[in-house]
Amino acid sequence: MSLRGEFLAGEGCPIIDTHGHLGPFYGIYMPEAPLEKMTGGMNRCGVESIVLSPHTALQGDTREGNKEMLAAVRAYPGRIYGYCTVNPNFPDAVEPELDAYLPEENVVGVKIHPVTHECAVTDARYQPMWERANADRLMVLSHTWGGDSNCGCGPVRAVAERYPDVRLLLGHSCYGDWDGAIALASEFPNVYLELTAAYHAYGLLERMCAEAGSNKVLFGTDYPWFDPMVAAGCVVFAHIGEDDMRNILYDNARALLDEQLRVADSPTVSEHAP
Amino acid sequence: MRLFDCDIAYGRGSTALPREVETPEAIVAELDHCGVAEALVWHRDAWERDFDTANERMIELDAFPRLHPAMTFVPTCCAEMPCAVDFVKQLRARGAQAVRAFPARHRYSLDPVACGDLIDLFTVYSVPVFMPLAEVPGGWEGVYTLMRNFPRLRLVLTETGCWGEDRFFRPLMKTYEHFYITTNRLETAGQLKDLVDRAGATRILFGSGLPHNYPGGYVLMLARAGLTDEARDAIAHRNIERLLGEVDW
Repeated sequence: MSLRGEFLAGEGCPIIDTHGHLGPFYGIYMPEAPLEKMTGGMNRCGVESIVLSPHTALQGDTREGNKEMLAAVRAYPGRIYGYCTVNPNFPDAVEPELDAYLPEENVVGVKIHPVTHECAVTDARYQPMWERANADRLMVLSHTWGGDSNCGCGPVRAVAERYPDVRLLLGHSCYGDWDGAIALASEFPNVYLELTAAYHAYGLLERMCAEAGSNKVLFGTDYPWFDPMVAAGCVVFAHIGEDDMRNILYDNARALLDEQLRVADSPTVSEHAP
Repeated sequence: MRLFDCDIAYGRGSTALPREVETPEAIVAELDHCGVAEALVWHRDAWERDFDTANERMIELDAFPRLHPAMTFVPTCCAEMPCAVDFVKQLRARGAQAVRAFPARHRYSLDPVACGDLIDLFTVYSVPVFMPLAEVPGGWEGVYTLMRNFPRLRLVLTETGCWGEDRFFRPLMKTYEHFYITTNRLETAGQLKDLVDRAGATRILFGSGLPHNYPGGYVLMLARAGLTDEARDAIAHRNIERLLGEVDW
């Protein structure tokens, strides 16, 4: 049976979601926003693991959101991984938050949102985070959006060049500037295309796989915003090979997570522990 | 699972898409790839160029029995459109069982003063009117006004937005018997099951939005939403087949 057929039959390969959130959000009713509903939804969809940053960390008091993240990570070890969110509008809190959370087990990287926080990825207030992430080869998931002065392909290229050891996940793949995003992922070994929202460009997955390679494409959904089965359906019905599908749905993220989990055990990171 | 996709466009637009769907053959190929049996389609010229060109071009669909045309209308106030009665005759002659409207793009009002003659006839003959949310002047407030003005209209609202729009559309579903939405952008996690549990499955239609969206995304969502077979099949094909079957010429 094809992978597509397996998914339709309620099975398929495991999935890792590299772009998750947690909790309610002001402008939208999300039935699966509570943590226990999220894990139920992950079961429904065959999502083995998710890497998340709570909405509170992005839209409210980041410190409270990071606490929510850690609680979720501790409640579901190996099922839920966490991003430590950095809010550059409170620069004094950036390094203490990184110090507090990055040494925690299953906290695997950093999340930034240059649009919500109205701060370009190249802004000096992000610099301590980038340097830390570069030194420790951390995953950094940044919201990116085509044409945006804070997180379009231009400023993203600048940080990709400056910090070659950061595992830079382009959240939404610089939505709309597909040529630019694919060029970044092709050119920089450390840059990955994360797919949240990019599913709404029929044929884009085929282009990404052909030009950047399926090993540079990561499954993500903004869950509990978007249903993982819509995203997975786009992948398994795309006109790409099944190896490409498995890379996107699971293998690439697994490799990145495994690397982070090994890095977390290394002495380099422990030097930063509080 | 039998599937009938009620929201597909074809043709070449002014900007290139990552993967084009320019011909009826290309639609059929993607339907086959996704296991979709039939589709209600419109030509992109209706949005890119003008409605009449699109309606004429869709004559080619006569050679594709799995593809059904949705013709586009504008108000009858100018010589470009026949009177409402004659337009309905055209629909009947063409075998078109649904119409589309793009009021924002085509720059007209949905007020009864502008479109009352057409919409009244569509209501009389039970012709469903498909409209993307972004094309309704005034957005959701415009949809509410339209339904207040034409409470028996069979309105199928498409592309209801990537942020879950439940707080807007659920009151309309509760109030108006013939208000429908499609699966195109109905993709908040768990939304479909939650909606069906509370509002039933009769007002949701499987529609993908090809060539902008991957149909397979909505195919898998529907298959894995945790619905009863009855609810799933209603959304997948029965609702749209009932709607088209109710057109009363």
